[in-house]
Amino acid sequence: MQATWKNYLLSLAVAAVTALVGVVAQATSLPWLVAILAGLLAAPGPVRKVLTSFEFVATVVLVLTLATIVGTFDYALNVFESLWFLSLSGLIGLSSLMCVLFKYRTGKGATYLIVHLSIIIILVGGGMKMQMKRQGMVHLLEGQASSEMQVFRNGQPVDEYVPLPFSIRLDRFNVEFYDTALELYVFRQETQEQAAVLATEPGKETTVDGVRIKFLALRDHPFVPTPGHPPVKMILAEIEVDGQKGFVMEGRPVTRGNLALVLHKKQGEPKSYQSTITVVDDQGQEVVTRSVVVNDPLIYGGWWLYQSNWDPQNLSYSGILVVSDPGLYVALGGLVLLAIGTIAKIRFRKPRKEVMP
Amino acid sequence: MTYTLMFFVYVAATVVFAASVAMAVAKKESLASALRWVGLVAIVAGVGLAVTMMVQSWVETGHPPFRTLYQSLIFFSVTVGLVFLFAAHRAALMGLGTALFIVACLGYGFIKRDVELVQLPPALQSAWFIPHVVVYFLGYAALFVSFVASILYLVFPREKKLPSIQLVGSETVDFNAWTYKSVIFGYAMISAGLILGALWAKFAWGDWWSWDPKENWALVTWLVYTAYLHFRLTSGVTPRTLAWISIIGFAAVMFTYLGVNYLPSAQQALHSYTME
Repeated sequence: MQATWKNYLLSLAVAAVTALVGVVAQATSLPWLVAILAGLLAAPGPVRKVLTSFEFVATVVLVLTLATIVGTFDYALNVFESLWFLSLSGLIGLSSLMCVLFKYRTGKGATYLIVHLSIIIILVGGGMKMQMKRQGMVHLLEGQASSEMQVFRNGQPVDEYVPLPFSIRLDRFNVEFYDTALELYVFRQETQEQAAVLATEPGKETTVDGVRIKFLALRDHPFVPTPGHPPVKMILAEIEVDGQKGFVMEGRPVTRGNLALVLHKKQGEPKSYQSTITVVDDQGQEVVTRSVVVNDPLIYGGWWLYQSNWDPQNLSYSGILVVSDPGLYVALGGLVLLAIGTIAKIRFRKPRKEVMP
Repeated sequence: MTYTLMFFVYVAATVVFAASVAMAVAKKESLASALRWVGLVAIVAGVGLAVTMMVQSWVETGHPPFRTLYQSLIFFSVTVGLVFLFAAHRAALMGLGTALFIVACLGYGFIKRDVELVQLPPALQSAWFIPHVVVYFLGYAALFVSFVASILYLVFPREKKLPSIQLVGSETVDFNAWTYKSVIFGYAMISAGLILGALWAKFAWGDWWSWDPKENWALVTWLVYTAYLHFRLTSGVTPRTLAWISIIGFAAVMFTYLGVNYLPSAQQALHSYTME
């Protein structure tokens, strides 16, 4: 029991020292941090024993958990960009690596190897992303081309423009909206809150505070605003409230007890943003023309080109996000291994205790 | 209306399972067993009603019914119900826990009810949408089973103390093993969900990981269960402590699911449910 506590204390101490090294390395340079971690890798037997113990992994994982919670509660602390957090993550990777190198024996099963390797690979991918990822926004108007991206830092655009190894021309930009449709809104008068919305489809009904409201049909109604004025076409909704038929005119509320019914045109939300773009390489050669939409980027020469921005005031503008992240394929490979390793551990046998003879 | 009916079906299931537990404690085994079967039928009915609602919504809107918190609560009731039917239907206490939990989720759904149909914004129009959500919710449901099994371990640490088979499904059940088995399944699912999410994020936002609050809490959940799996192999940690870690793990699951929206940093989140 005492030996266990000693293990936890040692683990905490190693985590604290590593975090401290991270803080110091923040002020100096990253390779030094790598050297320290490599030094730990070559550490003598007793240190190695601590680093590959279950107590150690559990302790460092809990420390990382707390750090993630704190960093998510207050992003101003910049936990996820700090080197102490990075070096603690590195410590997990190091421990996994040592487990694979020194602790793995063939009897342990392939899943052990796969899962621990996957952690190392994911962390390497993450490290590559931190070091090598380039990202920016290319601002374009229809018909224009640009080979410059506006740099993003911490997710925010900054006043810095960087040349790209290719240029992008925006041939066309198109926003599609969901249909505008008339809908019957039900409000509670006292609280002004929206209680229900009925689509204007025959037979639709809802019950609000015990009042049954049923939509029957839309009717065109010629309406004469003043005598002699030609009739204006008005739209009426024919409805049934608690079995009683009636009409609601577009834009004019009708009240019934505490409820107010309004027939109103709902503006459709954007359904898709679509940019047709042409990539022109540094020789001036048109390489590819394709439309990009959200969730379907164009991939060209290690760069991913995304539909990312639009301007409701200027519908010929489109913002194309460009990202190059060589760590992506490494990290995804690691993540796939993690899924394979953890899924392979699943057993569907019933968890019953063996009965002793 | 279907929703209200479904809610009351689960209220009925809760009452029936509670009665089954009471009969089991009173050593009326056959009555306890009969009531447990009635409870199972109620859970099947509840799952059926939820699936009906989801199909209706899918047909009506043309997109998978996972868009809003309200819709996700309905789907969660389906995975929790199904995982219970598959893995824990023999235990009346597990039925009571499951029915009670679904009643709580659906009760919360009454507050978060959708007042109008919402369309699918471009970011959610993705082939990754369905597998990401389905895999995560199966994982959450399995982790719920491990949570209840952990509570049962704290109440019945030794099988000799069990008053009845009906309560827990078997004379020789080992709740620690039960917790472990469901954690293994849940852990695999939340690992797979993480990958599907990372891929989707790469295609939608340009980055496979962006330290978004929802992502971070998914990571916290994953880390707590990682700690659980390692603590389990140390010599000094008692089964009681393990049960508590699994309980904390499920608290992290629920916070990831429902609590992230309430964080001060939630405005920056790319990921929250719309809660108009």
